[in-house]
Amino acid sequence: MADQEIREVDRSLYDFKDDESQGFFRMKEGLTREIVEQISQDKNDPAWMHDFRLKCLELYNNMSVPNWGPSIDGLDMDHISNYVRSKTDMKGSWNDLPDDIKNTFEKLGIPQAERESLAGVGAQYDSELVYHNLQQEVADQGVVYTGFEDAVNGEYSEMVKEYFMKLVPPTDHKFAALHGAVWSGGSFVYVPKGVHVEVPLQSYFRLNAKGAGQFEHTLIIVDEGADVHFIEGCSAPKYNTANLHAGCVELYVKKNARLRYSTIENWSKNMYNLNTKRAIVEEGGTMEWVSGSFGSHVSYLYPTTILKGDGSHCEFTGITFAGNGQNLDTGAKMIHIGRETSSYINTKSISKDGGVSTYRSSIQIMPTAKKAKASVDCASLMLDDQSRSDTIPAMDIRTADADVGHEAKIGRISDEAVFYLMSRGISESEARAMIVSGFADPVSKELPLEYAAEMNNLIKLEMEGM
Amino acid sequence: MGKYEDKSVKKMQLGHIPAITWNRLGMNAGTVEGDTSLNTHIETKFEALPEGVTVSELSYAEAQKWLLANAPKEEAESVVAGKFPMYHPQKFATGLGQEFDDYLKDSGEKIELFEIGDGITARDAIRWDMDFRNKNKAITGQLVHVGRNSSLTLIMSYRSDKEAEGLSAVSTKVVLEEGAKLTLVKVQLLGGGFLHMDDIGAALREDASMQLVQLELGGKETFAGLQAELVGRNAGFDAKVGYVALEDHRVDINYNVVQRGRKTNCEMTFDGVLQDAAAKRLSDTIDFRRGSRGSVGHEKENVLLLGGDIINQSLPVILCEEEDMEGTHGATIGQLDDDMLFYMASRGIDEKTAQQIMVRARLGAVAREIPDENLKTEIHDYIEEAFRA
Repeated sequence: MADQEIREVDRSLYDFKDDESQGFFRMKEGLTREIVEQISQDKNDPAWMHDFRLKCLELYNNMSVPNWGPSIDGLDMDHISNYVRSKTDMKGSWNDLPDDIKNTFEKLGIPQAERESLAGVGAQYDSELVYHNLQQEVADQGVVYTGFEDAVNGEYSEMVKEYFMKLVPPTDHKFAALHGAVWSGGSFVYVPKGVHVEVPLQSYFRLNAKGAGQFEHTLIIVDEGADVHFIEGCSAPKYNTANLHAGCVELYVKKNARLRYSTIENWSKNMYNLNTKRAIVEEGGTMEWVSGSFGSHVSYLYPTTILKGDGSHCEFTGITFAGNGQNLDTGAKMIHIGRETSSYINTKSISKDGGVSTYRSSIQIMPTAKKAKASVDCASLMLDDQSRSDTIPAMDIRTADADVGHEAKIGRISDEAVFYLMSRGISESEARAMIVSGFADPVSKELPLEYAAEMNNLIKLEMEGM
Repeated sequence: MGKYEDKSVKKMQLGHIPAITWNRLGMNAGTVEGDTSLNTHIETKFEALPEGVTVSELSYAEAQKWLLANAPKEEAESVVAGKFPMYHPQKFATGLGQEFDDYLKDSGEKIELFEIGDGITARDAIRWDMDFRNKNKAITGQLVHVGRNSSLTLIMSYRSDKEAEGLSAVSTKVVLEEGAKLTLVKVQLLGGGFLHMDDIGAALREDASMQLVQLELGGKETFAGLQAELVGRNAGFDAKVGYVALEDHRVDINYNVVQRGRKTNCEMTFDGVLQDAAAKRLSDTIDFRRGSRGSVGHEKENVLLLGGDIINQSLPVILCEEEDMEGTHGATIGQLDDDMLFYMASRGIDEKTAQQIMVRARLGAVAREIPDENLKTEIHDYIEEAFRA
């Protein structure tokens, strides 16, 4: 076995940039009514969307930043460009894209993944989608997978209007309001009743521009009895100025439907990742989250699930790896409303080289959620004494007819385990790497093989391959 | 009425957690709803103090000065994401916080300083029984200083008639020198109309240990807070806390143990019972500071829900900036499970009786730690009566 070492996540795979001077359009920095008007005009928004954006801007200006999480003082909205468009419109073939953008996605392995294992792919570059495609046989089942702006203006406009930012209202927090004002790009998915999409759909978000924000909107509706797996990936090259990601994901899981939503987030270390994800699950439905957080300078990420229907269920599996210069505040929220609803949260976090990892969650059991069950299991690993790891799980139970369990554990790599492995001829660094790899394994095994491999790119191979 | 002339004091915010979370949950601190005006002075007379124990009176300012001179100095604060802004930095940290200190200061009450010198084992406990009459509203403050390799037991109890109302507020600050041992027992058996606030701050030097047994069984609105600073190497803190909230009563607990020294140890267990429209907030934090190498901290919470639209808020927090430590938290919140009820039923025990047996068992496990048989019997009878009703 090669000598191994636990190292911080290597992002060189993702740290390449395209020259923005060649035909890109960049809106001036800052956030004003004029800028929001211009975005709305460029996108040919219907009147309701135009008005909605302006209402969101007003909300944004009147809301304060959170006082409970990592500092976002380094994020100066006056120096963020909220809209950057590359030199191409959306294509249905990779070959039609300009070479540099095509090469970017080739390096990230997206076209290859599409050929080998995906039913559909959307690729966003800065503020706009540049590629979208859905396999014909999946489209023939009635599945809709399209760019979000096409959905707003196309045949699904009424459906979009009914669902858009209803689950994540702009009043929710400051960055939800910001998203509502300047959203751009993203995907719309509709899976009709009873349709099972056998292979996953994927959207990949690439933020190439320096000092810019990305605000894609993802809306997925899985109709009664349907089943789909959606994968989201994201990355960016590193700059020495702040970038902002304030996307929004709204997921509707109808009666007896199932949705699995997997994310591998690997933004660069200058990114403020202030993303909002929320799902609502109807009777008998199942929501599954798989979440890997590796990148970003600061992250606030707590996918929320509202278990509205009786017997609905949610599982959240997540891993966070915080290295040098990172303050990643991640976790999940579960809101039980229906009877006999159940949820399970299983998270792992690793802190290294001065990184700060915070697991934050809330379990709310409403008075109507009789016979609800919830369980939380979170484990943290400290790899040195320069780092920090906090666990802040809240439970709010409002009926006596519920059952809630919680377990949290924090520790270091056990000397006994390292000693045992060393007694079998494995070096100390190899032993430590094996233990960390095993610690992360419950998450990687929840991912499809190709994405488990990407996660390996992010931690496992970094620890084992040196 | 003199200095205790009734005056309405602004609603106090007590028990701020050290690392705040979403404000909308309403779990970052507790708000006192009841009237916090005071009208009674409690005369303390200790007929027989254990040998080696002295008691003296200090003003609030003198007590603060004493603490600054005698308490171990804390290391620099670490930076926690969303840490509660220390706009009221306490000179000597407690669980209920600066607003409660201000409340004590404003009352003008003297602070009792209990001291035991070096190398003394007090064989008998100090018993402090506070019997409240209806509508009594009083605050007391204590400093407890246990010398090197000495040991002391302090048992404090608060009681009144069952139907009585009033206010009971207590501030207890503890400094334990090297190798000192303190057993602190606090038992609250007040009537259903009482507002009770019980605040503890403790600082432990090397090899010092503190055992805390706290039972909050009565009162309409109860706030209990603790901050223990395990400053010295091998310092140990062990807490067993039990509470009951029935009808529309409310219990609010904030415990925060900061582990600074090497090889410190913390064990906290909370056992509670909620029923009817009762509400409870428990935030319990273990905070491993850099340098606390080899330390261990465990928190455990068990809540028995006996029916009704209760509100149970639990926030078990672990903060950590040290690699070489071990921290765990476990919570089980729910009703008696069906298997147990079935087992009981098969032996002719109905559900109501089974619940009473479990309540007695859980709270009895806490009461067993109290080194006073009479008090244990009183607690047993109090619980029996509460659940008989």
